[in-house]
Amino acid sequence: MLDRDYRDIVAGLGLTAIGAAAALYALFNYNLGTFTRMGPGMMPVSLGIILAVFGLLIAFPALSRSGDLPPLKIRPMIVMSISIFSFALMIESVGLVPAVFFTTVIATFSETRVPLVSALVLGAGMTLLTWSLFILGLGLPISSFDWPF
Amino acid sequence: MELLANLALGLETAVTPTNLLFCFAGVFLGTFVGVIPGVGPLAAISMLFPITFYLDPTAALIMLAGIYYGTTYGGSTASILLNIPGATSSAVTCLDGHPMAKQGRAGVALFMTTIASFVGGSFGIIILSLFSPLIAEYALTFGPAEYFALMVLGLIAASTISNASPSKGLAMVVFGMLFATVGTDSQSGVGRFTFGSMSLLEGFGISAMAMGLFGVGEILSSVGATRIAKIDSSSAKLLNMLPSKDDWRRSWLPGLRGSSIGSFIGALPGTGPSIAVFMAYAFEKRVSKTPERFGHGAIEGVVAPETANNAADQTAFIPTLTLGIPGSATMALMLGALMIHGIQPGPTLIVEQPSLFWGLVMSFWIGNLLLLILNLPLIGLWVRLLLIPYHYLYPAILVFLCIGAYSVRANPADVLIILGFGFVGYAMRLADLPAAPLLLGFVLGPLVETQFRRAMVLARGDFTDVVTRPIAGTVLALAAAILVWTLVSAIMRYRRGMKALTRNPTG
Repeated sequence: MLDRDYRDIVAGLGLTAIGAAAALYALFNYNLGTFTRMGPGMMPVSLGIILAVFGLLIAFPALSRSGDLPPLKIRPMIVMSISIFSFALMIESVGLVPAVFFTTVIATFSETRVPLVSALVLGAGMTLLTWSLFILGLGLPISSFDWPF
Repeated sequence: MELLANLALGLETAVTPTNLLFCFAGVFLGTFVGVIPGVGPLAAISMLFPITFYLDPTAALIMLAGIYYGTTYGGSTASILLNIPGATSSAVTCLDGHPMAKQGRAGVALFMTTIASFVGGSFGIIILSLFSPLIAEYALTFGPAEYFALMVLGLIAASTISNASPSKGLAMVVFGMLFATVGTDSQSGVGRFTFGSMSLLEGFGISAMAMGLFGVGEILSSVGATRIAKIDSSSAKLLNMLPSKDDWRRSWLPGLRGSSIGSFIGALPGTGPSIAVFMAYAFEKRVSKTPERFGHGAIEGVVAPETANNAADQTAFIPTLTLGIPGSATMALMLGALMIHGIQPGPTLIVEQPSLFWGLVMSFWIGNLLLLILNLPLIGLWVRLLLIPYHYLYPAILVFLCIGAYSVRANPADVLIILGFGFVGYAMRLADLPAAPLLLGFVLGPLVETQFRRAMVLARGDFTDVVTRPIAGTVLALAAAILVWTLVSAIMRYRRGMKALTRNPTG
């Protein structure tokens, strides 16, 4: 236990920062207009200010209570990013089959409990499943295999 | 009988063989994904939506309806067998459903859930067919001021009533509305928050946002958590599923009461199924002659919330379809999906496209019927699915999310957007910020802005003119009352916290 609820303090102040930044950016870049004819800036500026106020309302009461900070899972965050990135890169250059296979296999590395053989089998199974469902069944306009060179 | 003619028209649309097939596929896939522990209806619906984008509108809507019921039903299955609720609305089912499973009566609980879903759903559909045309006719007189007021009430009610922390819920609604301003402003044509990027001019897509927040975000936060599934699969066999005479006798009244409570609460803005199930459960416990059985496997404690849940699921479509104002995040997703198919729900929908509206209503009912037929024999399959460890499931979910995001616009950049929203969703989970109000704000934000700007033009910039209109004024006063009440209770809680701190300074 920590002496203050830092989770809500960080969350509230973060929202206040986002709201204030959005309001200021909109204020300097978009026309506010008048109440009769509102410009594109009116809504973002008002929403930004309201968000900033709510952020303070979240952070302020948290000063007077204790709380815990949740742990951050670094490994899944990195592995998932690589996995999704590889899908985005491969889907149009090499096609659905390799993209699905590698995305699946890479994703299993988020945890240490999947043996490599099982990961490869899972990857092959997912490739077959998605190919038969999306290309064979639904006829999505995605190529299943491409040779980029 | 105009209503009967309408229902016949709807039935005609819904029961063509292709539409039945898509309804079946939707129910099956929905249940399949909904059963996976930790995947709530929102994540499941957003994952399966892209599949429907390639179908013609009627078939797509029918499949969507199937997906919607399937996920809800699948969520109850996971709640009863594993005590892991996929959504707040199935948390109540855990209270008595899981004790029943522990007593070896999982099959009975699942059987009654299926029946209760069908009864509650049918009840809700009757209410939906009776009241939608009336409300739509009334709503034809609404102007921008009334729409603005109703949406504000919906947003405030949805973010304060069903959330543990109202200030967090409200903050997330505003955050969602802020996300919605990204892209071209519909009134002036100015690109907002695009930072020179061409693809941001279109704004964020609702499906990419939902898939990121609820799909990728959920995976990120549940990967690595140890889950040991312990199920006595023999209790879910078909032979052990049939309820006893005593079960039936205990169930029918709670089922009727649950349906009524659910239908009423579901139609109100911002309350939705989660409030309805809690109320139905609390009510049953109060009127019961043996309240001490609740929490220890009372069949009434399963039937009442399940009927309420499904009835509320149906009547929640009343404001969504007749006014175009969704009351919950799930409804917001459904509205988004309808709009992707070029359908703008509102009072004119019933009059201008009767075959579509009534076809949708009847396909809701057929979806419920298929759920009944499909799930009674398939309960064993769902039980086996629950036994698959999560570390084999999440890579598969991830792949479906990627393909889904890509297939909407055939744009690889959308896949990266779900990653971005995945991190937002994970950060929000860490910070204990609710994601559902954000999605609701995102969908309603542009509508609120458009209606408000129109209302202000009509009122010549005088806000008092908006407030003094009878309907708009009453609705806004109600919204203000909820806001004030929330604020007062928050201040009282804060004071209590301060007192506790001064009494016990080390605390």
